[in-house]
Amino acid sequence: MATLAEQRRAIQEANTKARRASDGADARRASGRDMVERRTGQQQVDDINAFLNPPRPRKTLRPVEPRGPLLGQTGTGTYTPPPAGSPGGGIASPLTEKTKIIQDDEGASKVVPDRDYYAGGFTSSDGLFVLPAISVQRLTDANGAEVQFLFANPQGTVPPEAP
Amino acid sequence: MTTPGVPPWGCPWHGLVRDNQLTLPNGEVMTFPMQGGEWYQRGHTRLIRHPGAPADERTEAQIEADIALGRQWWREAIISAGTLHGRPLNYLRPWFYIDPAGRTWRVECDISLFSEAVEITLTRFGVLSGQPVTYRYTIPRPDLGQDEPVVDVLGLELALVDSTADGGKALMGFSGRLGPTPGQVFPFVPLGWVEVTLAGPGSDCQCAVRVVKTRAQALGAVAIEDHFEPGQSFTHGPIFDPVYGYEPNDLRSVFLYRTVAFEGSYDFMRRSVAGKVLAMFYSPAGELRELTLDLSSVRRSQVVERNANFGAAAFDGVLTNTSETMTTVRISLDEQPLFSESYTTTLAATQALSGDYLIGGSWTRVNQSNWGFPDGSTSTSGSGTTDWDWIVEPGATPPVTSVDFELALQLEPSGARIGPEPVYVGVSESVAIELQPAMHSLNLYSMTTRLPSDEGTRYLGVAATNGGIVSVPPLITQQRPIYGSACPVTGRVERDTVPICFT
Repeated sequence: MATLAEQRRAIQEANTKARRASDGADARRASGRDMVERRTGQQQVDDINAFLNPPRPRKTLRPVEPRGPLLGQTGTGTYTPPPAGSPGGGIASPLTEKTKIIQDDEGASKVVPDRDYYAGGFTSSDGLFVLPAISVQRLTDANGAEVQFLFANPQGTVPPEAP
Repeated sequence: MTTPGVPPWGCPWHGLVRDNQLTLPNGEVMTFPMQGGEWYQRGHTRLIRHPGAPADERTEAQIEADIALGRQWWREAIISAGTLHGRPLNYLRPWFYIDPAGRTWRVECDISLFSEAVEITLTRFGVLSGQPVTYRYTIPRPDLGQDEPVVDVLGLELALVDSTADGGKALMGFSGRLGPTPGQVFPFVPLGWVEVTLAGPGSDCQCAVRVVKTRAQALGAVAIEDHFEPGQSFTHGPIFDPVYGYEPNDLRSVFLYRTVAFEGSYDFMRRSVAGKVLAMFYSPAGELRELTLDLSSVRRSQVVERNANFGAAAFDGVLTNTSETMTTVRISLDEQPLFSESYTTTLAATQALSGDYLIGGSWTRVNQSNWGFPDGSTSTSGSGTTDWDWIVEPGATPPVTSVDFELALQLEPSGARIGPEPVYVGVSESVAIELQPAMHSLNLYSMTTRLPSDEGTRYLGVAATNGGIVSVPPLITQQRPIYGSACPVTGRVERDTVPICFT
C-alpha cells in the first residue's frame, strides 16, 4: 500500500501530466483506468485503509559494535624529563598514615597517629570545648616516600602550644 | 576569635529548669535532667566565663532562626547544681580553671582537717579527643582556724561553695550539722571559710590555700550585759529563769538561754551577737561577699517578785515576772542592709513553785503567762505542770542548771525567736514571732518573718546573691524550705516550692 505522501506525489504527477497532455489518448487511457478502478472500488478501499491504518515507519536498531578484546596498538610519544631538583615523580597511592610512640602519664608507651594539632581548633560558643584541628598529618605513599598534609589554622581560642 | 565558616556550636539550651523541664525563650519545653541532693544544692549556680569564647558573629538570618528555635548561644556557661549543660560533674566538688593560655582545667581539691597536705588535681577539660592530661600538686595545709571555740555538732563538713568565673579562686566552707530537722530554712551552722587560689599555666600551676574566716570570726562577737537596779538583793536558789530557749543542752533551739537565780529586777539585760557570718560567695568581679547577721535582744524593766516560803527542806510560793523585750535583727550583704527590723514583746507571768531539797526530790511548777506581740495579738498560756527532778544534799544550796550561754548564742543559726520559753510554758510556737534568715541555695539568701497573726511564713521580697541584693516576689507559705536559683548570666532570680535551677 502506498503511503499518503506517495499518493500525494502520484496525484501531483498525474495532474502535471494531464495538464501537459496534447492529445486525448492519454486522457482516454486515464479515463479507462479510472472507470476500472471505480468498478473494482480498489482506490476507495486504499483511501479508507490509508486513514484507518496508516503505516508506521519502523525505527532501526543502533548497530552494536562486536564485543571482544581490542587488538594491540602501537603509539608514540615524546619524553619530557622532569625539571632538575624535583623530589620525585609524584605520590603513589595508597597513602598510609604514619604512627609514633609516646609515653602516657604512667610512663607506658603507646602508638598514636603521627599528627600535630593546633591548640585552638574549633571552639564552642562558651569557649569550653575544642574540636582539635590538625596542623600536620604525616603519611607514607606506596613507594615509601613521606607525604605531609599541612592544614590551615582554623583560628580557635587558644594560641599554639609552646614548644 | 571566631572560626570563619563554622557556625556556633555547643549547648544553646538555657533557662529555668523546673521538675526536669526546661522552658526555652520561645516557650517550648524540653526535658532537662536535674540532680538530686540536699535542697540548698539543687538551685546552686556558678558562672564560667572563658575569655577566649568566640564572638557572636551570626548573620541576621541565623539570629532569627535561633530565636525561632529557642536557641541561645551564650558565651558563658553555668555549673547548675553540679551539672554542666545537663551532664553531672560529681556534684559540687570540681570547678574549672582557665589558665593564662586559655586552657580549661577541671580542678578537684582534697583538703581536710585530717591531712597535713592539700592535694589539688588539674585535668585538661574540653578537648574532644584523646585522654586528657592531668597534673597533681601537693601543698602544705595551713592552720584552718577551726580549733576554737569547740562546738558540739553532729557533723563537720568542708565543701566547695563558690568559684570565680575563671576559676582562679574557689571558696570552701566549713559547716556544722545539727541533726535532721525537717522544715529548716537554714540547714547548718557556718563555721568558717577557706579560699584556694590558682595561678599560672595548668602544667605548672601555683596553688595556695588561705583562711578567709576562722570559726571564731564566722560565729561573730557575742556580748552579754546585765544591769541590775542598785540596792536589790539577789539570792541564789532554786529559781530558774531561762531568758529564752526551748530545750536545755539542745544547741539547735537554745537561744539566749541562761539560768539565773535572783530576786529583784533588771534595769536591762542585753544579749547580742554582731558580725555573725551567715554566708560567703563571690561577686561577678570575683570579690568576696559576706552576708552577716547582727542581733540584739534587750529585756527592759524586768521585775520578778517572789512570794515564797523557803524552808530547810522544802519550799513553796509564787513568782511573778513582768518584762518588755525589744529584739533587733539586721542582715547585711557587704554592709548593705537586706533586712532590718525591731520587734517588741511584753510578758506578764506567774509561776507557782513547790518542792523539796531532799535527795531525789522534785520540783513542781505551775505556770501562767500572758504575751503581747507587736502586731497587737496576745497569747495567754494555759496552766501547765512541770516536774523537775534533781539530786541535792539536804541543806545544801540547790544546783543551778547552766548551759554555755555564750556558745549557744553563737551556734544558733536561725537568728532570733521571740516568745515562748520553757519556764513560762504555754505560748505555743504557732503564736511566737519568728525571724529567720533563709537559704534558698548556696548562693541565694533571703529573710523570713512570722508574727502570730500571720497565716504562714513570710519570705521577704528581697534576696542576696552573687550580683547583690535583688527584688523577688514575696511569698507567704507554710512550706519549708523554699527552693531558689539565681542565673549568673541574666541576673534573674526565682523562688519556688519545687526544686528549680537555672542552666
